[in-house]
Amino acid sequence: MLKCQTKPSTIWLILMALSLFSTFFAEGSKHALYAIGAVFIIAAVKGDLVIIHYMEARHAAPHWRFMYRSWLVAMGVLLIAGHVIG
Amino acid sequence: MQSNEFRSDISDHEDHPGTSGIWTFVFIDMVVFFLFFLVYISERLRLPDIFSVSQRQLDPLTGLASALFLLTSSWCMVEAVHATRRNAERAVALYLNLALLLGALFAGNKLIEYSDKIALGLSPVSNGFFTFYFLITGLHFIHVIGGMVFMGHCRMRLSTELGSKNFRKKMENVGLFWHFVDVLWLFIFPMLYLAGAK
Amino acid sequence: MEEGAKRAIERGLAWCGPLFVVSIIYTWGIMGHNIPPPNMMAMTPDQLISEYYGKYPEIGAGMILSATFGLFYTIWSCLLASLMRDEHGNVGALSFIELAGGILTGWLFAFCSAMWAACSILTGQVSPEIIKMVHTMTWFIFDCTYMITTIQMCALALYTILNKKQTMFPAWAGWVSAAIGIGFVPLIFMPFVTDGPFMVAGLWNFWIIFTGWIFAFFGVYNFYVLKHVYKSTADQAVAAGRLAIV
Repeated sequence: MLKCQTKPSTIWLILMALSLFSTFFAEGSKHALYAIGAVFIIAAVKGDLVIIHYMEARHAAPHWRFMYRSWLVAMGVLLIAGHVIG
Repeated sequence: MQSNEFRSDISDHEDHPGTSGIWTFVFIDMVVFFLFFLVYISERLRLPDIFSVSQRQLDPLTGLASALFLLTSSWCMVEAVHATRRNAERAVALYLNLALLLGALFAGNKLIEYSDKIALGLSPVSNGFFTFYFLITGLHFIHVIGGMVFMGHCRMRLSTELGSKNFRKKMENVGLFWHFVDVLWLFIFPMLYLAGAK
Repeated sequence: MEEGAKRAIERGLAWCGPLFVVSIIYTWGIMGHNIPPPNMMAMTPDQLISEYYGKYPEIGAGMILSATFGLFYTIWSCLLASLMRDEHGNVGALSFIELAGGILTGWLFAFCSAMWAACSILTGQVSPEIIKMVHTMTWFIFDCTYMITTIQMCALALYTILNKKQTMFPAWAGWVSAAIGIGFVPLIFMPFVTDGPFMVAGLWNFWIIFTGWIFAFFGVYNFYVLKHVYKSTADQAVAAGRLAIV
């Protein structure tokens, strides 16, 4: 679990790694549904890292953290469901 | 980078990062984009073949490059905000310049991509997918330009306003907006470039 | 005018807002079979008659009633403009822009409803081509003059957000108002598409923006206007930013 005091540079490395992984996983995967699920879950995880560590939502009022994270969940659900159904 | 720059001085709950106005504005902007994504998905379900075939005309590496530019720019903005809190003018200037440069690289990459598509005869009226491609990336592009304008404003006011609470709040607000622009691309990139193009 | 009479009028005008919402949903929406409207750009004149005007004769009555109730939007907008004052009690440009937008939007509802009533009542008496022409032209006028409502919502948004002394309306309501006002812009695509989210009955150009406008903008501001007009005169002045809180 990342600590609140995790350095921005560490977060950046994780974000870069996740971006590279999701791109090449999506391109190379033979299982389209799993790949789609994975890329959107990774996108939501990356979004959470940016919101918590870069936007510093951990220092914001709790309702903002809740609302912003709810948006991430809603986006993930929408995009995964939309592609799985299709 | 020093470990003490990461920070406890904003843990005072009376001094949240940014102002409540920017948190409100960004959230409403997020909701608007969510609705655009909802409409994109509904169209994709209606025209799956057109969307799949059209998505193959996008280059994932171009989208990845854009993501890397924005993520790195976001990191620079974080460092700029931290430096603002330390009143370290040269560091703020450096990181703001880098953030702007990376933003410009994103914008340049996007413009090259647009011109390539247009040269291939693709436009917002080509089909449903490209309507959304140009609309969503175009709206995002406007946000990128807006963010760069705000960052430019902060860069210009740096030497005269650094040290004031007003400037610190301004930097935090601009930073929050820039990170939001970054978060948007984290979803736009896989949605348009990666998912469903097989 | 006596204070009591003034307050009674204010409250009456405030209730014109909810009256507009309920009456328009019923007359324009349900009786008028506009939930959603027919996709006229993809229909032949004969289809417009057989599937809409000829099929639902109550459209005429609904639209005539809608022409009446449409002006309640204007009445409510006038009250809103009178509330949008600065700390000295003066109305300014934003109040006038909101007022102008409210007058034009209410007029638009009334005028367009009357035109659609004519289409309905004259079905069978004039050719389907003429009916489709009038129907379509009216929808172009109704949708593509969205700026009259956009300017109203943006003026109200600016007042809400930038007037830090007023507590009548929360800042988030202003941001929502601006977002919906700007969200009307894709209506410019409506005349040119026959399917998809930007057609007249599309997911964006009908469902999202109409629902957003009537509930997230109008409903929200209705709530706060009603709350305001039931305050005492002194509390109203404080909420409007004219008196400091003691």
